[in-house]
Amino acid sequence: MGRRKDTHPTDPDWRDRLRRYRLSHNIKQAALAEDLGVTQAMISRWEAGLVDPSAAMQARILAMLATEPAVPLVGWRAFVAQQPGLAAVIDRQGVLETVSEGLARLLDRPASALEGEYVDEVFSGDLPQLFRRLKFARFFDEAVETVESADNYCFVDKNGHVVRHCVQGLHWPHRGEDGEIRWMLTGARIPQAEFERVRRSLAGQVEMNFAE
Amino acid sequence: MNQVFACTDASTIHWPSVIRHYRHSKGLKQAAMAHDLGVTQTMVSRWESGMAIPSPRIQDRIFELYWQAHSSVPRAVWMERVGRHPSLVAVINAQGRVLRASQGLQRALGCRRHDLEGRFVHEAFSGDLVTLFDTLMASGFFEGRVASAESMDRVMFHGPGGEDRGARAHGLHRPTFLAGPQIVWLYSGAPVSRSVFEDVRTRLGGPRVIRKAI
Repeated sequence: MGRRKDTHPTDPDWRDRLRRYRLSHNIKQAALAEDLGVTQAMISRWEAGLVDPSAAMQARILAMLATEPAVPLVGWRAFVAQQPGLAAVIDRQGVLETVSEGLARLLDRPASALEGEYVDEVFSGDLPQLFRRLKFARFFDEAVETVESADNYCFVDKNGHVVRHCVQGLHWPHRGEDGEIRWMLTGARIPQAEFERVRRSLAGQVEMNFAE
Repeated sequence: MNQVFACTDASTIHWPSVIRHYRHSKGLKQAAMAHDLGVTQTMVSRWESGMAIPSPRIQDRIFELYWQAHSSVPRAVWMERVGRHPSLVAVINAQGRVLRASQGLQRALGCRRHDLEGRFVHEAFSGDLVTLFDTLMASGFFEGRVASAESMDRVMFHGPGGEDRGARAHGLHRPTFLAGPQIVWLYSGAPVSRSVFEDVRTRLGGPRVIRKAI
């Protein structure tokens, strides 16, 4: 393994980038381990920040990240991650797989700190409730085509205060490359009065359009 | 006003970019893509070098592959969804005409659907959004030469009644491959505060960044 003449400056974000690369390319830890010639346990420890890869391995990982060919065009997941608005990809267990820039901005936390968390770990109130309703309506089995909602996004901010935002939501199932259905969550903050109006027009928090 | 655009042949698709970019994005070798399309590897190579242009049937097939890479629903359902989107979303064609404007965009601009749809960017807006359209056009966005773009814009909207409405919006721009075949601009954005506006402009090193396709 050719060693670089000087080691890369330590980039505190690089473990996150490894994880984001994996999620955005829909690669499991085991597959990445195989590509890099290490064990899956090792990938898991790197991502957890328990150990750092060797310098040679770091160079190899960086090269892998750098050679990704203009992914933003085709990668639907990368497109979600870059959204200025509120968006997320959530799996059928309720894990936030991908969090948009806009949602991370609202929560005032880096997307990488949110990804891998469960919806009900991050939010209280309407969003966990919405997740349960989607599951119950067999959303993850593609029984639903589109869902409109008006939700209170409740979460604890960095100072330990509970904050609440009124959000109008639009949701649909998305089938990933592995054939599994994900919840594509999108939304936008709206003023309280508008929120009340949307709730009245939806006759409640949620309106579902079932697939025929 | 709009004849300026009507006479530029903006909708000509640059097939070498489109094909090469699709192939690289999916990590496919020429042979694998040739197999998927039912042609020889030599043919894919000729398309990518610009020595030949795919037949209309293959052009449709390639656009279909692009579509499937993004979306699991037909284009009509997707278009409908854009219209219902709560945040700022619009679909704009190479002539600058707004084909679809989301609920959220209508709300932000204080207008109705038909105050936006069917109108041209140059006539309905002024300021950064117009410059953005011109820059995308000049970068070959509608020809398939751009992978994505990001911008932070002061959007100025001219309502049908002569009223103006401004907003600061963070935008993400992606080419979308519709039947025709034609490439349209999918604008998706969110209104932002002054401080976020400044932060993102600093990160972008200016009002916009355009990422070319391979």
